[in-house]
Amino acid sequence: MTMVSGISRTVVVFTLLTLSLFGAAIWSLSAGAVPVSWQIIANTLFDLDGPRQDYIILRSRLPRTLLALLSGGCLAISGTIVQALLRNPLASPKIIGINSGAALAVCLMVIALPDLPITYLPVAAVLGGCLAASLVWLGSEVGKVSPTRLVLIGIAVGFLFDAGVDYILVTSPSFKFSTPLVWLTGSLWARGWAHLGLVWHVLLLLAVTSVILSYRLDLIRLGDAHATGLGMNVPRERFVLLALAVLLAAISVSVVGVLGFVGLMAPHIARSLVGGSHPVLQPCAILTGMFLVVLADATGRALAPPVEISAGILTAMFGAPFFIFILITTGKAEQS
Amino acid sequence: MLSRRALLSIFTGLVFALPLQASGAEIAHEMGITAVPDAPQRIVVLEFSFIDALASVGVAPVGIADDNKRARIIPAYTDIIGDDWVSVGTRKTPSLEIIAALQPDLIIADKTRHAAAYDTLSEIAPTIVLDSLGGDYYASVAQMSVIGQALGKQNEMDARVAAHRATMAAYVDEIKTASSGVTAQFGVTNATGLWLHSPKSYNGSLLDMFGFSSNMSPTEGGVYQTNYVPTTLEQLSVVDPDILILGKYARPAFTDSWSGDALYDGLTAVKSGKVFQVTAHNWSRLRGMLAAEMTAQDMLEIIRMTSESN
Repeated sequence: MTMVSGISRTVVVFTLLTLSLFGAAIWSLSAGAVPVSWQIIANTLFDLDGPRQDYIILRSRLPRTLLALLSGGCLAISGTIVQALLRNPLASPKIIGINSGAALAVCLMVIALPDLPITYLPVAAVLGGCLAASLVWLGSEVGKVSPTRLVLIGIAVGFLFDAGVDYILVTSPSFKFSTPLVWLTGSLWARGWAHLGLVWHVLLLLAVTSVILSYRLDLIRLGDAHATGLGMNVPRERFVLLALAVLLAAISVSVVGVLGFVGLMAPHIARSLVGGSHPVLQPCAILTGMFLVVLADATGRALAPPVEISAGILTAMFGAPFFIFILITTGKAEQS
Repeated sequence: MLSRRALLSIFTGLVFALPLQASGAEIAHEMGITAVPDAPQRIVVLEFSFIDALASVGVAPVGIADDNKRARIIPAYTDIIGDDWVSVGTRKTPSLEIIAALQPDLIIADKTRHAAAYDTLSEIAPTIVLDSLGGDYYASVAQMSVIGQALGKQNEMDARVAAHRATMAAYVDEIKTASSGVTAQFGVTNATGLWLHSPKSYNGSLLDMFGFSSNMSPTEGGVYQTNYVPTTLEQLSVVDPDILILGKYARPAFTDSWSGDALYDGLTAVKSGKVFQVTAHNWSRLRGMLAAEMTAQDMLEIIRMTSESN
């Protein structure tokens, strides 16, 4: 009986999430500085007769919406993996240093290689994110430390890199950081098909692999001894999954900027909706992450046009109250 | 599902855009070479100095990144370009949708702020990118010629630049009577700090042209690394210019809290009553010919006041 109601609850949750996501994505096509009617959106998308808005719909809002879906989903996957691997609800891509590493690499690029075109910003971000995460991982390997200590190493590495970012921002000409600062707040401004074209195949491949491997997170969560007992090569699996999480987050961050909070929130929101079994949790977290970022980007465009508010700011503004609400209510459930 | 034609239109959009601009000039700029149409009519500008350029030859832009504050376009410009432009949002992240909706035939963007969006802007209209924010006075005048070329008004612009040079030379002659061996420093102050504009900056290069020297010390090799230097009272006391020119974005400004402090009251400029206030927006945000002439006018008045006080 419980199992049946569990399954039907899951089905309801997924249906509602998918519908909300679909609604948010459609709204994202209509939201922005220039009002475009539903009729014109339909004409443009489906090549119908009548007035169209080719640039705004096909070249601006559509690629942005797709990029928001992709990055939101990938950051959510990354967060779910990191939380399971570290057995720590505080964990997120940010906590293993990815955001800070990416940010420092971008700032260094602007200062040390001023002649390098700003279009290389994503490359620097991926390298920096991976470097920071490798440092955290190396630290944990050398010391053979517990997941809690790994989190602490991650926080320390994050602070180290953040100090570097602060140093550069304070001591360097601020006008040079016009573009990096927009990116640091997590924005999809001026993102288009070119950016989507660079990352979609890699991210999709990593995302699908992660979802397929997500059942292993359930084993790892049982503890190393149990997982090894069940025939799992724990260190190897942990490395593979961590590498997936790092790449997913670093590549997403490189295109859409530091949207760090999504990786923390989406898994928690999903867990409160469908429980902790990863084959179900992971897809639910993906839908949640997608929903949050699409909604934030569209709202950022619609709120005060022609001024655009960074998605990173709005993700936190939408997500944080909801996140706190979930923590309070699930906390009560755990106590009772 | 998207229709195949809709998808195709995404990829062919660029190709279709090209024949429209085939007959115009090829403009070399920071991001390469762009073909712009003959005498573009619908121009969007994303920095204030480009308005200065357009106003110089009497061209009104259809869209301006005015930070969503129309008052930032001063009457000296609106007297020429009118008031019909559409705000396309902030200079930092202008709304690409509004720019696209204006159907421009030329976009003029800034290197520091918009290089990352160059491809996206180029999808909307032929885009030229110039180094306004990071450039000095001489660069801003050189950019006038590039913009004149892009507007198809090369001769008109050349004439305006020549007239500007003559105007500035007259100012320089007059100011130089009082600037030799005198150090002058410009800085902007808001509620939280003071930023000195180094000799490498736009205003620094103007003060240099007027014959003032600077006490700001370059790093090794004689290169000033940065345009705008955050400065404490202690650092200001080391620079200690003969004339201190302040643009205040806030009232009271950060520097106002210094009065009464022995270190501040001991500054050469403070002791001799040579601290002057200018309009921060005009000096700090505006660059170009009209802007430089206003700066020169301010400077001339400052010189007159200092000679009276002597």
